[in-house]
Amino acid sequence: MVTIMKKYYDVIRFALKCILIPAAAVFVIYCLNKPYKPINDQKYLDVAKFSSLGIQYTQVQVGNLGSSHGAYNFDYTPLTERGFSCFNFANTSQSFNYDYAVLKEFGSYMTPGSVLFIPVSYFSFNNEVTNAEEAEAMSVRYYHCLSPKNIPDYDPFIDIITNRLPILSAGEDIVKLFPSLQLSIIALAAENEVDTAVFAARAQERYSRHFDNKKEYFLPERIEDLYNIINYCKEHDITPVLVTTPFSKYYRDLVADEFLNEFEETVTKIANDTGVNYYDYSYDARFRGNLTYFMDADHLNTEGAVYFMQILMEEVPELQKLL
Amino acid sequence: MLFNSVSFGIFLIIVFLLYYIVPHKYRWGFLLLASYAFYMNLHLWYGILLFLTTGLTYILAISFEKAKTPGQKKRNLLLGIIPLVLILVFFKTANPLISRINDMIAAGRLSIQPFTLVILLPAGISFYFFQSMGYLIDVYRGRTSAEKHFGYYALFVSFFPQLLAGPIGRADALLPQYKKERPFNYENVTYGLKLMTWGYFKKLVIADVFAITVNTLYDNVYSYVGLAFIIVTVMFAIEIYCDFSGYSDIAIGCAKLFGIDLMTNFKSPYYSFSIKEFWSRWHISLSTWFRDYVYIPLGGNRVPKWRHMLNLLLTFLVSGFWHGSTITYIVWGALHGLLQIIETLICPKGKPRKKHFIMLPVTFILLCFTWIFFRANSIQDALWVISRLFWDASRPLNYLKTAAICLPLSYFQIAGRCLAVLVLAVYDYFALKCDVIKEFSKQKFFIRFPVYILLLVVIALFSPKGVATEFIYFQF
Repeated sequence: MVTIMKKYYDVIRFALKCILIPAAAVFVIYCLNKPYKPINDQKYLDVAKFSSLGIQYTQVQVGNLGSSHGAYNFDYTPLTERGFSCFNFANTSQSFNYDYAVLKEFGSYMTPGSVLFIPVSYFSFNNEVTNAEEAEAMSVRYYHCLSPKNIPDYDPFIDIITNRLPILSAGEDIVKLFPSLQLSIIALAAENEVDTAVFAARAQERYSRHFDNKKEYFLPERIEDLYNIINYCKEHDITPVLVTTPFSKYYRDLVADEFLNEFEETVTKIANDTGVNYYDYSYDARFRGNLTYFMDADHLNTEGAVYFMQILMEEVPELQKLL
Repeated sequence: MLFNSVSFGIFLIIVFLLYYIVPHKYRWGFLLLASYAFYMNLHLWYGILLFLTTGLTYILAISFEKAKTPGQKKRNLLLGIIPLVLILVFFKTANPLISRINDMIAAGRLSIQPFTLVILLPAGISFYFFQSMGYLIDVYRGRTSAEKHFGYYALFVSFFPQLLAGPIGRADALLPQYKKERPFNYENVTYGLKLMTWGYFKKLVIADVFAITVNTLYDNVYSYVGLAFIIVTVMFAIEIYCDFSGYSDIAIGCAKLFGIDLMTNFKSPYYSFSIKEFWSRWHISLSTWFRDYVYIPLGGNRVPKWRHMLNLLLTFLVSGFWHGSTITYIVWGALHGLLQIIETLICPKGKPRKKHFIMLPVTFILLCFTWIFFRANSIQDALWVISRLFWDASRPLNYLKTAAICLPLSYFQIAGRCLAVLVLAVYDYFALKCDVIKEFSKQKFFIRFPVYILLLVVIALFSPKGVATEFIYFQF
């Protein structure tokens, strides 16, 4: 009897410890996670803008999707000054599948009759990022702004370690919980002058990022994503407009003619199939050689983006109709 | 199913709970079933090969006792050993051979189409083949009797904690344990869990973190020079130790949950004063296997001096080949053999060996040098690393600066890694004198519990997240 009692005593003791010790560890992790969460949110400031939808922006009249070409090349100042509600849904390296996810999540904030610019870049029918690690790092930000049902290839494990319990993926960032331990970082002063050699080098770098290590430039699933975006717009009375933003000649001249022909064919076919207009500013004379409008080889600076918006206001009938 | 995967965690909890519910007389069967499920989860045909190996060695071991003449007995032994060795050699050499043929085709020396054929090396084959061969030889020598119960024998070969990467067990130590009644033992089970946690700490917090830096440099050696190679080689020495000893701790701890004691595989190996001592502390189950079944049958040290040296060299060449048939492993094995020969010549048998403290870092440096060959992807890579170790060392500031650029580690990352190594060094130092876990378990609960919780928190916070990384020794 005593032996049996002892046996069960040991089992209960063991079971209790097996529960209590991991529970205590989970509690410690939870306690560390609480102050770390706001620090972690700083990493995803680019998607923090979406939190203003529904508060500051409820009836968006003009918007755009896209990657960094959408994020930097659309400056709505000329429209907001005229009282229009505009929103930039673009994020760096955002591919069509994420454009579609963003649209499904926040499309309801676009007012009926609104205009949505869909930037089509040379890498749009593939992915700008091909490195698996970088792609994963890029996809993580959407766990902070989209609901699981809209996140492409949603992975609950990533959700837990990067969003719900980000302390688990903090690594050395954990030191940020203790500000007194942090080292100050000296920021380098930005170069203001336009240096053509720097532009050319940057253009080569950007070209390599967009074209190297890719077997197929026109993936069927990306084409389908674009059709989905357009269909979504039509179903919700939003006017989609396909547009390729201006590039400097240093970037554009690197692109092979065969690719440009195939790119144009693909976009034209989609435009024709869906009845959507396509505007190509990639080699626009007003921009291509005028480096003062560019931040780098394929991104406009603020001045360039405002100028580009003015051009769109004058030349895009869909937008003119709204104005 | 890797030890560091979530699926293994779930599998282990289920098997552990059911194991103590199942009546004793059926437990061997339950463990056998669990072991095959564990193994066949990796690949279906792995289980078939495991079963065939078990069947062959079981029948041959029994046949020894029925053999009428020593010649017949020997023939039966060779019938078991030769196929196992040939299969092992086939699996070890096939892929490097195919890749060499493809290289020759690509270089235009053979006028045929390149082919893509990859021979899948069954996980753990080197370990359970060695365990089975050891059993056969032991029965042949009469050291142990042939196991009549096929189930117990099959469990001896396939017991899942040790199946993939050892420790390579001996029949006389393991078989009686499978037959003995093993009720739930609190001390045993908690000890097992603590050892597993320590193993996970070594694997996830040290080995996997170090691997990121080591792989970056060793997979692109031609992009780096100088001190960075010295640092990553030391890091690799720590990585492989933590990876493999971490695995062994998990395996031993896991077996303890079922009341089975596996043999110790590591005893603070980097606290060795000689290469010979290192091999008595490193991968003990394999080194004793080579000692008992290769070195001693060759004559060991009870032969003329030149023959003794040759025996040492041959044993380590075989050990190198066991790790892989590529030239880097062979050179690694040969270097260990040569270093042991030099040690034997400097310090002949019978003379007392004085443990001078300087021998500790000297041994470690020599070991690190041999690890270069073990880790490098090719002999050319290894030679490049060696030739660039002291690149620009005449300008110390530049030497340091280059290393800082090559190793993209922040101060916090460096401090974190140093702290983890310090914890490891302290643990291993005390492990030389006592059973650290047993001694620590005697402390008051308010000392023990925070340490256990801290260890779990550190593992959760600082282990790299994502796909579970394979243990290095799974490839052998």
